[in-house]
Amino acid sequence: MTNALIKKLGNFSKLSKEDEKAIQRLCTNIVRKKAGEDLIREGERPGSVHLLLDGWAFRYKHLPDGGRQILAYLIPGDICDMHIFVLRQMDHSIGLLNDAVIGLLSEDAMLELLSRHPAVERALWWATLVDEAVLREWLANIGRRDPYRRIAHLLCEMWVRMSTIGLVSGQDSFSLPLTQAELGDTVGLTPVTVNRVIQELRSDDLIILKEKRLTVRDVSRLMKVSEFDVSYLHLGNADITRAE
Amino acid sequence: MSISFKQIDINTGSQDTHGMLVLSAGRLVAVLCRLDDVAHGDKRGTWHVETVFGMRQMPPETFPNLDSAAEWVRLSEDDPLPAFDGQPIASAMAAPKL
Repeated sequence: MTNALIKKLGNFSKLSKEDEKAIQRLCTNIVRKKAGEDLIREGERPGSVHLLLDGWAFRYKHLPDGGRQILAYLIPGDICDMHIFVLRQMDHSIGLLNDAVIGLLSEDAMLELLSRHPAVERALWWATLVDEAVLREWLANIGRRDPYRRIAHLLCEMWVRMSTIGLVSGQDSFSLPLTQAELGDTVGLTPVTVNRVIQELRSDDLIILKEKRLTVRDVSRLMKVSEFDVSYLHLGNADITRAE
Repeated sequence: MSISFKQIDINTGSQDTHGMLVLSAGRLVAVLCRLDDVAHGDKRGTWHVETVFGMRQMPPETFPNLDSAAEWVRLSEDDPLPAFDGQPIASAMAAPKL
């Protein structure tokens, strides 16, 4: 179950067999949660670190007018709240986009892993820095790109991120458990505008979006039209290929 | 404030081409577009807010008709900024509890 995390961290730092075993041992408490549930809400203090083992989650902030801004997508292998060791409370909420499997990691176990396995510590630090880089890219995306490129760019990113953990199929398709409203809340567009862009991407033969599964018809063309430069994901040794 | 409408063709990159300018006292405050594209499903026939000018309230995504759009413009224009409540900043930013 911890394969996605090991695969992801292995891209950032060379992990020994002992490092990998330590990560596997970490995850003893596993829970299943339903789509739409919150893992944790703004203002709360997490009791343990949440590791996403299966499913998609998202960071978000609620606004007083009832609106919502989605700030990040979390996919298998992502740790949701590493900062609980330093910060006292959540400044945003984390919700689930589909049914998910979560590993609950105790603070003590995490601290022990970090102190005994420097390669893991370095990889987790790398992962945290990548999260920040993604946030910077999203900010530039929302602020400076037109709706068509904005959505195409986001889809490219998710294709790459899912590839690095082996969740893109041979036909360049992967599970994208997002509604048009959720996509809109991510890129600052109304669902109507998202719908128009999806239709355009479809008629330009760039994507097929069916039953919450995205097929990218031509990855390099999608990257070109959205001005996507993969370097901000700092992939290290990652192999961006399709799972067989 | 008098609200008026002016029809205009609009390029949305979709089948939605029936645009409507919303004017308040002769000044442009919003651009709407009637959703005609079959891809919109249940929302077909409603008015999508493409953009607004000078309104402090966030509009809904769509209006069921032009009357409700006019009503929203009136309410938005009447919406004042919150008044200063006399509280010093220090108490508004009270230290969080441990």
